Amino acid sequence: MTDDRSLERAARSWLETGPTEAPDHAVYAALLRIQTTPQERDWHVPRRPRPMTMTSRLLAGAAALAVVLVGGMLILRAGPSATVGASPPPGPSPSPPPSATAVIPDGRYLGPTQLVSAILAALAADKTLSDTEKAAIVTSVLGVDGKTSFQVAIEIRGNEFISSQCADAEPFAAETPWPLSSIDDKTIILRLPCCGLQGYEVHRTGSGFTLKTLSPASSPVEAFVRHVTFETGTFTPAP
Amino acid sequence: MDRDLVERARSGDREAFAVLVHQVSDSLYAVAHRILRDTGLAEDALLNALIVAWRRLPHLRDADRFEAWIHRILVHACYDESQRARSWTATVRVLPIDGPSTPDGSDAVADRDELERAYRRLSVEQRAVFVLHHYLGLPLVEVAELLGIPAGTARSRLHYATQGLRIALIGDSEPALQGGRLA
Repeated sequence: MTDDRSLERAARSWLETGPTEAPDHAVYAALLRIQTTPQERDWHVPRRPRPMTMTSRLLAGAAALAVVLVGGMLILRAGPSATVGASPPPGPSPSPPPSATAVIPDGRYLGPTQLVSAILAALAADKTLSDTEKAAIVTSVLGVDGKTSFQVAIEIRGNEFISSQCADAEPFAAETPWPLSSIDDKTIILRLPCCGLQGYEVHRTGSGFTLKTLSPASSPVEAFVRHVTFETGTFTPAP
Repeated sequence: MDRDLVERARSGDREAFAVLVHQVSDSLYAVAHRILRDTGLAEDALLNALIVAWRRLPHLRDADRFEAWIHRILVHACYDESQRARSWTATVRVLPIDGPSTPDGSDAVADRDELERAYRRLSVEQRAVFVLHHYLGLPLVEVAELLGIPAGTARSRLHYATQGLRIALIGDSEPALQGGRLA
């Protein structure tokens, strides 16, 4: 493997063997940071298509002079404490993301028991959902039609997150494991077939935890369901 | 790449940018991993590149150049990561390779191992040109344009990278290191 052609062939083949997919947690960490990162302003001024006439030059010059004079007077009146052109606060600088580690210990956790009447009241008060969507949430998504209580259970099995819901202690909908990863010691990421990546901030409370959604929901239905299932209280270890 | 998505992201639409991120992140990560040869550093480079790209997106003049533009940001993020990594690996000395490689290429595992060791001796700038040319398949002129360097410099870096690998593989590592500093 000493001539350039065979070396390049071997090197190409060797380069092909590396990873070809970005880890979810790295992509999600970037998207989370971007949620709070402002864009830089573009001060670019497009080139003037035609040269200015003498009249417009004189008018522009007079206007500029007036701005300078008025601005100067204002600054002088403001006295020595006035600051001009203060630099903006520095933006968030990127820091290395921690490695993905388990944030929630393996086990089964039960969420708070919620009254269906309270869920229906919240639905009735929601202005973002249509009547059809509200009906679908009650019957198809949460399965609380004609029920009185609702509870969510979460099971953590290594890199799997299994969420299940019960209405009047009867299970509703199949339990499907979702891939789970984390980007730091308090943020978990779920990969849902329906809605892509979702991030939740985890607050540990003794042996339990609470969840707070971090990523924007793709629809009002998703926002409402996420809130009802994961954000209404503490998940505690199941007896 | 969808021009409309780039335009929307350039105007501050985070959801449009998220879609773009999902479209390019695999390629960016693959390139970063091949330049840096380290999972953690490649993840850091990807994260930093995506954030820098988001911040600077309003400055992108031609939406059709988005992919090349973000790859350029990524390569610079790789340079930064390599610099950071070097600060704590500076004291580690690369040991010379024991004996010549198998000349007929029959021992593929040994070749790969030797390639890995020889590759790690190249400068990060040489690796970047090597990966963009041999992995992404970009012609050298496009590599130079993407990196913002003269075509002669790209050619020189590729030459020294290839020479560095070849010389290291036959057991004489010293000229490869000199080549790495020259390029």
